[in-house]
Amino acid sequence: MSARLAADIGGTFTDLVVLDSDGHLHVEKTSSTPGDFKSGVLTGVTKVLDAVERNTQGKMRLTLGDVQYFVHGATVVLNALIERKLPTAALVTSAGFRDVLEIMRTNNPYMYDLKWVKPAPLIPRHLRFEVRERVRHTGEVLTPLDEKAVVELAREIKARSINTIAVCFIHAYANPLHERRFREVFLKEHPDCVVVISSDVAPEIREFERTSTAVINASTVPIISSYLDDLSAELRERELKRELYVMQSNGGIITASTARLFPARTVMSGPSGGVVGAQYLAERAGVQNAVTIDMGGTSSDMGVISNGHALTVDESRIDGWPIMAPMIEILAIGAGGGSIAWIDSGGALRVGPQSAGASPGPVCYGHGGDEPTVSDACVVLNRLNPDYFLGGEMTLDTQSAEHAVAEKVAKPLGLSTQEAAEGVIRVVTANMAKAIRSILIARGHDPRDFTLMAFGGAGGMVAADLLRTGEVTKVMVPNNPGALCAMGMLSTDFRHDFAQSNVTAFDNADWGEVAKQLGSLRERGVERLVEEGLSEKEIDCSYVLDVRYVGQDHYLRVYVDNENLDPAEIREAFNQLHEKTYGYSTPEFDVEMVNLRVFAVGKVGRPDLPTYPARADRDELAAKDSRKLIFDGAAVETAVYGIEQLADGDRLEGPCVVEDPRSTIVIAPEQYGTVDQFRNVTIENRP
Amino acid sequence: MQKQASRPDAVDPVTLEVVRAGLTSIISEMSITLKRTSYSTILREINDFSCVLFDGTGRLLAQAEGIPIFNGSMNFVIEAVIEKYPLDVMKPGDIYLSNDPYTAGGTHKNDINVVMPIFWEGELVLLAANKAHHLDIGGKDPGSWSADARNTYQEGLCLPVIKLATEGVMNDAIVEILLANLRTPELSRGDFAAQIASLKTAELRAHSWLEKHGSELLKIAGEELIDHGERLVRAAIQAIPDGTYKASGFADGDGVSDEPIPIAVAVTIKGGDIEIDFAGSGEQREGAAGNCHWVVTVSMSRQTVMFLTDTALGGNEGSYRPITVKAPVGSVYNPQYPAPVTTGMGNMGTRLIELVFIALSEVIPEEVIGGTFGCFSCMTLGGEEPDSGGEFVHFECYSGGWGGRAHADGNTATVSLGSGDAYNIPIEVMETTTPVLLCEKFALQPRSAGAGKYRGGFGTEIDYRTLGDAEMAIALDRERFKPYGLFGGKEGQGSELLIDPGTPEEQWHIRSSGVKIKAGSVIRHRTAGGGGYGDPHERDPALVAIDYRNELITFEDARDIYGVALDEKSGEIDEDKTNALRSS
Repeated sequence: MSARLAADIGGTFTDLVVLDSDGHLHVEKTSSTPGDFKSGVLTGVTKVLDAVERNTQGKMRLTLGDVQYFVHGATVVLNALIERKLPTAALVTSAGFRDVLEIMRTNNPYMYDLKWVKPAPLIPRHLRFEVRERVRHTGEVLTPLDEKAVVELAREIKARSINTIAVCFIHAYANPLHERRFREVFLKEHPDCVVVISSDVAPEIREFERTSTAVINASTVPIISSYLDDLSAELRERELKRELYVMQSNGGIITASTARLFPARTVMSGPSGGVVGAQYLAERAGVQNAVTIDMGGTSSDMGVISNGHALTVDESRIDGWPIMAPMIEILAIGAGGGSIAWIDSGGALRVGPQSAGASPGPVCYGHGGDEPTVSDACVVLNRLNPDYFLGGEMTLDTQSAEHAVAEKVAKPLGLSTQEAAEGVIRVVTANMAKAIRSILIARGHDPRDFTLMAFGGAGGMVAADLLRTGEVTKVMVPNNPGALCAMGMLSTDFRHDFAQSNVTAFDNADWGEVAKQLGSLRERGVERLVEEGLSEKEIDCSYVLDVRYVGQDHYLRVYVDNENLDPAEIREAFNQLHEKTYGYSTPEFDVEMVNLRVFAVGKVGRPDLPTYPARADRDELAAKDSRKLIFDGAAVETAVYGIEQLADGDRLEGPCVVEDPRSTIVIAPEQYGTVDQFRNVTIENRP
Repeated sequence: MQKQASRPDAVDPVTLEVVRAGLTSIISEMSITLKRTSYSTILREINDFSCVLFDGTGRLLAQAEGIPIFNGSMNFVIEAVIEKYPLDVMKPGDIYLSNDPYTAGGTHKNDINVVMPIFWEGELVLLAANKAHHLDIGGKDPGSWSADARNTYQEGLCLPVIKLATEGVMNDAIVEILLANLRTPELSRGDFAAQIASLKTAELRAHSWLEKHGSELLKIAGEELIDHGERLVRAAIQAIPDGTYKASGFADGDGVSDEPIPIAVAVTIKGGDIEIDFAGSGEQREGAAGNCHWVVTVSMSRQTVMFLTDTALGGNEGSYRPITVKAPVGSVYNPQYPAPVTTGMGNMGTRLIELVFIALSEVIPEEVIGGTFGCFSCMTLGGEEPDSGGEFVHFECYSGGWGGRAHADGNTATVSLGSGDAYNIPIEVMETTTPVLLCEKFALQPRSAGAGKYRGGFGTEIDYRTLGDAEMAIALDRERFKPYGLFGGKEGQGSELLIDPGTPEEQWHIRSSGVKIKAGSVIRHRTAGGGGYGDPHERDPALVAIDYRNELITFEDARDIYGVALDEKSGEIDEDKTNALRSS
């Protein structure tokens, strides 16, 4: 008997999913335990394994020994970064450049805000050191590394009891030898120190971004190491035999030992899990193109699945600090169930980015919140069943929610309370629609070709309104919307991305050499995956050239056939892509490659999802209840279904509500929903 | 729409936000296209461009966050276009081009404007425009950034409003003439393509928006957006007590003469209106660094008001209605043709913002900041690239310290007040695109920040070694008249530029151009630190100790300026001695 287990640690809840050997899914939720996330995970593991026994009426019993695959997200890294709870670390740079980290890119992101305070550097100036050495952009050594100074520095850092350092030398992406030699010499003097060199973690041009990546990596190595060591030990005691796997921001998994070296690659592992889960679900449901929106309490994370693949970016920022690492593209916007509605000094209605957060939370939670939120607006419109919130674990304070919307939104705008509540939802969904448009259109996609997948605790609540923005024509709310991240982790592959800088104009390129370089990147990927226990036939590689017009900086990614590199074909593919992305191309301009990339993927067997066959007797689906919801200012009697009632092929006529213990789906009067075999609900406008 | 407010010709606040979101997303897509497809580092790294939308009558409807100085100036561009080519003669696919401050509402000649009408169902409903800084526009010095230009002709090619494309057909002759006048034609060719592509993006996206919402909603909501912009600004002005507030001072010099330039402002608040009058400022100057063109005077004044209001939404036509700007004809803030104006935009323009802050500091002390490092601190280097033999131009706006504020230290190493979301060029990118320059140091300038309860931010020092011969132009300010302190805060250390420092050949420059630099020289560019805010003796001693430990102030500074006694070795605070120092 073998099974898979995934744990996704969120800010409030830790979601656990087990897929048993019969292909049944078991979902549980437990409170997260910030400060010691491990204990929440362990509680959850016990809970979900118990659930297996309970759900199968005792027919199946699982222990950790039966789990062949345990994946989880590295939330500890993201949390430590956001809260700035990082160990004391030092930075070593080329002589003359120790302040690059503090200077940043010199921009003032809030152009009219005189009160904006530039972030304090991740490592203070007195812990930033310089070493004499210099390499040019060509990789040529201008000044050799001062090895004597390295020895002295190592002694000083050791004497100060600093055990983690980042190293970033100018142009190290073009020639990493000085950084590598530094590490070698340094470690002889201070062998217990974690030494992270920039050419290992981010061999790409731009000194500030690379320094930031190296510093984030160095500062979080001790955090992820101690966390994974403790958790692995506890899990081994509970008989887990396999090594723990960790989700990366790029949507692939790595072993815990690799994660210890590259924590910066795991920062966004939670949100990426959601996109990967959606990708998996989309594939099963036959959806090629989807934009995903994971709507939680304070924000929404959006991602894009195009032709079955999640889109990735090569750089992103956490709290203003860049990380150069391939990540699933996640656009976070300040729109969630707890986003606060307010009237600005010019009398306009605005929603967010301020949020009531988990504490005090929306007014309707009754925990002392007094600012009207999106969730409160939903309560006013009677979208949430006040007695069935969190499966009845929490009762909603309808009256206070109405009062807050009336006083703080309706009165100042001269609207009725219900009109105001509908307005709040229209504004927040307009902001989300704007984000949908920008994430799709920036990549050259037409939103009308995309299905919106709305999940997270609040996704279903506003699904109908997102459809009403007209940005997309279909909205799918997945079954188990809260556990999609954890489900994503169950369905993900091993993945390593390798890149090699090679800026060469097409006309001057030695294509045999390019093929050779791609081949050697492939070998590195295969080697790493074989080490992780995959066999060669489970490995699949794709090959990419980053291409641009000579003189441009930004490049586009062209997938190539490494067996048969045809420059004319690649040039043509690039021109077409440029045309598609930016609306024009200039085929008469010279073209150059920038980076060669190989994505090495180790396929793991994909789990099956539980299915719910069409009802044999063709009985009408009967509503379990009904209540009056507000649509366009009018109270409309609305049917209420339970998710457990739904079966493949069911049609849900709007207006109606589908309730799940953890979420609510609303379908507006002019819309209808269809249910597939996985109990995903897809909402469309009635023709 | 589903809901209409009581006025028949108005939209409800909700629909308004829906329209606003649609317009700003069109603008951000214009910006993405421009940035990602451009060629020069000034666009692709620094982001020195701005995209905006006007309504069908030419009123500013929405603009992206970005470079403040651009944002208040775009209406002058559109007004000049419409004056020459009225709206009723415009056709789909027409594109207009300009850069001249005097006849075309331009800011300075490097900033090239392109404008395109957008039609829907046969009617002109929007105008898309963008302004982008080209690395070189001809003129006397590489980079066209001459502190000592004596007339507008020396500042580069002049483009009055001209029609670049007629119903979709480009006039290639114009592009050929343009490029033939520039030192870096290949970069400009690509940047130009990016500017045009950005307009086409606007048209494409606007059409798909209009298809869904129609032009009627755009018109009605546009009206309301503009009114809303006005209300936001008026509300902020109303929070300032009525009265007239004055300030005066001196700018360092004009590039031809170092005679100080008197500047003065009177700011009058009356209810929701603000008038900013520069009467009392000196007469227009011979050198470019001393003249701020009227377009920039108005735009900088508008931005100053934006600094003091809630403008997370970006300004529009309405935001500027409450603002009246005056400057005597022929003064440094309203110079007449053919006065040179390029470098004065940075120098005099930044002074203008700070002058208004000083004037208002007595009534809104919490909203203003101490003196900043001043102008854009731009330096240009040009010459022949030894490897390729081609002509290179390096142009960058440098960062420095901002002034301390009521509740926080000034920001360190940040671009000038007018530059907003402009980035630096990474050293590694600069060396790759301009291999003739080698950067040897890019660091904070210790001791440069003005002391205060909240000190200023630190300026920077950047050292370049030239690997071939080059020619330099520099336009600095705040060397003699240093960044001011407020409420007892001290001045920041001034700016300076040294060539071959510490050698017998050492040269010192503040405003110069055509400076010949031999291969192997070092250029040391130091920007000023920000002025302090409040009495240095009131600064938290723990913060003084941190600056000392970080080697940003000396032991003596801590003692003599801040009245904090530290242990020289450990940096520990001696509380008794500190109390003694501070009570004496």
